[in-house]
Amino acid sequence: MNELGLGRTAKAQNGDQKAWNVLFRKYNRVLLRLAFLILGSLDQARDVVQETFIKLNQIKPKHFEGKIKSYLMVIAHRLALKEKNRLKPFTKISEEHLPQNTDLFIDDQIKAETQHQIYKTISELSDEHRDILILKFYGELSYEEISKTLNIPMGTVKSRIFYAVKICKNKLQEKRIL
Amino acid sequence: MTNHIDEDLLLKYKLELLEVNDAKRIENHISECKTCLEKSIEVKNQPNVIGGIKLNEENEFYLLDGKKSITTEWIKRAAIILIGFFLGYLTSQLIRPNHVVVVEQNLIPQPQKTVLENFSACSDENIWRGSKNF
Repeated sequence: MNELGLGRTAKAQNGDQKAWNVLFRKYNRVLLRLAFLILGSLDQARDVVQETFIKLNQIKPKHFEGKIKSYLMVIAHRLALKEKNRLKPFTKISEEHLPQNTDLFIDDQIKAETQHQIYKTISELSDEHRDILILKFYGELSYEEISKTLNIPMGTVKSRIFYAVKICKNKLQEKRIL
Repeated sequence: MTNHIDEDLLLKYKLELLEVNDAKRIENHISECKTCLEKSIEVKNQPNVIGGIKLNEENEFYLLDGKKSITTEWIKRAAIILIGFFLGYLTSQLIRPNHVVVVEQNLIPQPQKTVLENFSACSDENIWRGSKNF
């Protein structure tokens, strides 16, 4: 994925509609998926993505450390976790709270069912494993970036990602998806 | 090399969790061992499947149109507040009761009667009544 320059962000922040559209088209998908996997609700995920772009609009480009994508991922991840913690007393992830409607996932009935099962498997992971897996595969962050984002050592990140993938792999093999 | 590579090690290789030397050793082994090559292809696909969820609504556009819209929103809010103040002021002017000034009667300047008016008050009847009292 090509990284968009800081220039475009600065333009967008100055009200350049075209620059905003480019930024939004570029990162909307990945942010929405990341937020959805944490929150389990498309509406809440949309709110998180919108809030992320509003935050991007507020910060000065010179304050960006590294790539814009990483910045967006970190913000979206934090906002999604915050939202999840806010809703925690009211919701508990279980079978009945998972989106039953496979229409949420990409078309084609078999693919939709497969993706629903993958989603379910990821949702069943512990928080620490799930967050790292989502940041790696859906946030497309490097191990170093994940380590900085979550403020945990690189070794822990690597260990958790391995076990997260292994658990998912075993569960999906039981379901004959892998 | 007769021993085949463990599946966990292949997964670590795929996830780029191994040191450079270990990764090279595995690469060399895969290039020679057909069984491990097949297994590595299978393992290679696993993270792709786990990270392959796609949503139908990813292309949806719902964001406000950048900074302009946010600025416009603030201008709208400010305008609503100003209009609110203006309406409040107007209403207060309309509802406010008229001022009633209470002044003592003796402080109000009375028009003085002219000599002619005093004279007309002394009608014939009054003079007659007056004379009767004597």
